[in-house]
Amino acid sequence: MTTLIEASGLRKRYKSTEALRGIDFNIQAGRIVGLIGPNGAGKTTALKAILGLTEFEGQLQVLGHDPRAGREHMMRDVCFIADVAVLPRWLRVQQAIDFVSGVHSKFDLKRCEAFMARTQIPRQARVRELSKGMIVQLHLALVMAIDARFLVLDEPTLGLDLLYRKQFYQTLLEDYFDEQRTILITTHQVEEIEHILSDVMFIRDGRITLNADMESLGERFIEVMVAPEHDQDARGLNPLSTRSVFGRSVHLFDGVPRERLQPLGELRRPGLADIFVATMQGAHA
Amino acid sequence: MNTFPWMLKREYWEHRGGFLLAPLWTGVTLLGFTSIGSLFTHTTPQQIQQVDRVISPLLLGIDGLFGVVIGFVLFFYLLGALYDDRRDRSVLFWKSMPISDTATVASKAATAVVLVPILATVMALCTWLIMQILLSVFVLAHGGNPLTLIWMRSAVITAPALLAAVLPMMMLWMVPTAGWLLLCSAASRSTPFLWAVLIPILLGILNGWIGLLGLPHLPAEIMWGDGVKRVLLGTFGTLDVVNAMQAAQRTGGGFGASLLAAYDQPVAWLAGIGGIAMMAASAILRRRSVDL
Repeated sequence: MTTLIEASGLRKRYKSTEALRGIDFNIQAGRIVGLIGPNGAGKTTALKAILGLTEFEGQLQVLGHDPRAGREHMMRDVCFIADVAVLPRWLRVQQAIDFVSGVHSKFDLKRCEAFMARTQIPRQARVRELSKGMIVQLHLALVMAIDARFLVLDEPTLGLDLLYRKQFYQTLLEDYFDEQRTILITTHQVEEIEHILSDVMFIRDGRITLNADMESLGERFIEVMVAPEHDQDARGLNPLSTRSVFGRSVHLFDGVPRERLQPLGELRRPGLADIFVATMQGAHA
Repeated sequence: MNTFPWMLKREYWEHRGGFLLAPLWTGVTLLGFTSIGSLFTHTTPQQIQQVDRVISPLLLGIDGLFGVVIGFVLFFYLLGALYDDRRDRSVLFWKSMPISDTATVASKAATAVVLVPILATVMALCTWLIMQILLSVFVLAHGGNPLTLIWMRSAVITAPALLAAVLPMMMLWMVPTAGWLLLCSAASRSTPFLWAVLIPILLGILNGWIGLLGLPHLPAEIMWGDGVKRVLLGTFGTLDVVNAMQAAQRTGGGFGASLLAAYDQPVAWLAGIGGIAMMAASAILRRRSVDL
């Protein structure tokens, strides 16, 4: 497995705040990594650093390039959709396709046409005349036709309706992703991407608080629906969080061996959202 | 892969209205007024015999008018060139392409300094040609022979040739302003217009104050004439050249004198170097941040 991104001591300070406080992480090729954190945790800053869109301190290698230097070489193998609807509003659909086809050596026009054929986007329309969902479809058609090794998605489905959101991730997974490619996603809608992720990173106050693959996450975090008579024992094991469902309490444990939890009640695999909420408690305090 | 033509095309797509339609309508309007006006003009036979005298001044006048139009168009184009896409965040799309920031700035500078002046000159020439045809009809209507009075005169060849010959100089005059406006466009977090206009003017006033206090300062004609004017009004560079040539022609100078008058401007070369330095600085700013 090759390492696609290596970051160490990544630090970014804005005037009054420290957005990244010296973080270290690696991203391997062929993975789908979710970067998840509350607002203002440093997600977007981290992505900007990776994409060479901002200055930073520390070491960072993206596909062997320092994003601060020779960015245009790096961008031949890196694609990104940052936020929804950043396509220029005056641009016509056909012009967008022609332009990318003209400047990007890894753009496959046939592939793009195939994606476009599935949509109802009028070719001569300007971007400002399209619905938000159509703009995202167009952007996705442009990006998926580029044979890139690394794709970054920053809140790619924000503000879209449910149908477009479902379709977005489905298309991405079925028609784009393969073991040659790596995808890094940030989003608030954790439930939506949970099933496609292979790795997850939690970020909070400019620090990485969790960095694990989904399998080890399932071993480390266990949720137990505890029978009332065992409640005291369960609390003794220091659960990360506790909530109650239909009068029974549900405890979320971090790193407690399965054998010790088994006698307490019914074990379940917690959702990513539950783990996120439990580990982020107090983040907005 | 040759990406530069595509980047120029992208500029044209976005600004077709300013680059093409504004000069086009200028030409059409000018021709319309001329044809209507000629119907009411009283002309003596002697004036008809000397109609060739207007050939060259007419072309300079038309080119000057086009120069004013693209002067305004380019001023606002350059101010927005590296700012507007940061404001509407579409910079994130442009920056997702494998294009260097130097190439981006170069494409915008080349559009303003090279492509649009060429386009405007060609359109000025077309307008002038059509006007020569109108003039021929006018001469014919007054009993003159347009072939000998207009089309066989040397000015028909020398006037457009002169215009083509001084085009590089018109471009050179645009460089300092293009550099300054691109720099403001790349650096501003808001209102690039205010920064671009206020900084040079305040510097000019400050220089004047220092002079009033009796301290070392730049002479006013250098500070305002070669400094402030060059960074703010260079997109009207066509006018500088046209004025110099008109002055030469008024004192009876011909082709050679006009050409010399256009090129004998050492300040233009110096200001051009400054303009290129400011363009380089714009590319560095463009690379460092996409945020407002």
